[in-house]
Amino acid sequence: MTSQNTIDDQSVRFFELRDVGLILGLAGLALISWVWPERYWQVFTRMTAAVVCPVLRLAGRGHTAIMSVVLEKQPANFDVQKIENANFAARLEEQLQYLREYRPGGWQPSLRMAGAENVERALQRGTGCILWIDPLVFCPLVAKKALHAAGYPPSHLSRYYHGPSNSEFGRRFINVITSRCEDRYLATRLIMKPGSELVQTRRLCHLLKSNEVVSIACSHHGASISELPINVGRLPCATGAPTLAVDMNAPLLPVSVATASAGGFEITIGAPLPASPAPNRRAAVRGLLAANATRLESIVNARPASFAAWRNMRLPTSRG
Amino acid sequence: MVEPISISRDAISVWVSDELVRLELVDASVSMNADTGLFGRGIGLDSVDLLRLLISIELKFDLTLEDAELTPDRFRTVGTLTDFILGKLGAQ
Repeated sequence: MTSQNTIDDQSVRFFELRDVGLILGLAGLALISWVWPERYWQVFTRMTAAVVCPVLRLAGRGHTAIMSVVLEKQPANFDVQKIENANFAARLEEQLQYLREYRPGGWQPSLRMAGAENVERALQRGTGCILWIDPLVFCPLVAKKALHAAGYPPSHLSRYYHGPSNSEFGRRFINVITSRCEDRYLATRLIMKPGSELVQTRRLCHLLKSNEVVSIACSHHGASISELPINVGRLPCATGAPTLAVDMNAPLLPVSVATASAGGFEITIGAPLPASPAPNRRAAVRGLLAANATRLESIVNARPASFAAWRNMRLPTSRG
Repeated sequence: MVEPISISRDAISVWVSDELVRLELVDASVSMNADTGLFGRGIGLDSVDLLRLLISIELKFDLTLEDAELTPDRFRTVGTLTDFILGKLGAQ
């Protein structure tokens, strides 16, 4: 397990040139999301991906190299460039979904949830439960919408610089485009502003003690990071959610989202990750991380284009 | 209060170090002193770890720590945390 300190965050600029590009891009996407019928979004996203992805690869910013290594056991006919294109298209479609939320009437996809009984069982224990949201495309918005619709609006732990921009300007005026949409479906959002980590963690514990549902994204942002083995790759993963689950004796339920073949989305709330007997707290946390790594590995192998964290995937240093 | 302890800076500092080990937040083999950092390149605690220590402090010293008091500078090192506890005990 490695660590990094996120308490001090003084290197953040007020404005970055990238913000201009984000504003222009979002304006164009907003127009499309409002005007184009949703059934034609994939025509736009796939065509855009077919143009943009080769450029990104030429610029050395593609993910095909890491995909090829991590997915090396795939059948011979698999095309890593197609996977990257599909992944880009899905992420673009996700942006359209957020922007459509602002149109009168909002975005109303078909949502089917499986595993709500896992939340119900967890709440019957009286310890609250932690929903650990998988790093998959569509998860951030769709999972919250589905949980809200099912009567479990979660209290969501969020980092301060949440969204595509890393600048202070972007946080105030760009990133809120996504967080405001999500907030409609949350009980509350606990923001890990630098310096407030301890306070927000304490609030999270109070919520669990009050038998509430809290959600935390399975991401690489956190003060303590572990690496989850995904085939031969290593996915950095903040250890906060499993540590909290161990400390609070709260079930840790993984949440994933997949597109349904008949259209719309299928949201799955998994059974609690197995809290196998462990000699100590660290081993218990490691057990939960390992259980989630096994799950994520099968998801990545089955649906590599849905995986939202290719850019964070690493290879073991021993491989050179 | 769980049990009384002598309220000296050294005693509190030793208790903090021992408690970090007892709570499994740091290995017993790690040598700590007042300058040992609690975050990042120090012993690498995160906010969940720190909360565990905080609850222990509240129980041990019969303190209630308000949100406004939970600033990172007070928890930066074993020494700053010790001073914070001492200050709280003195203020009671």
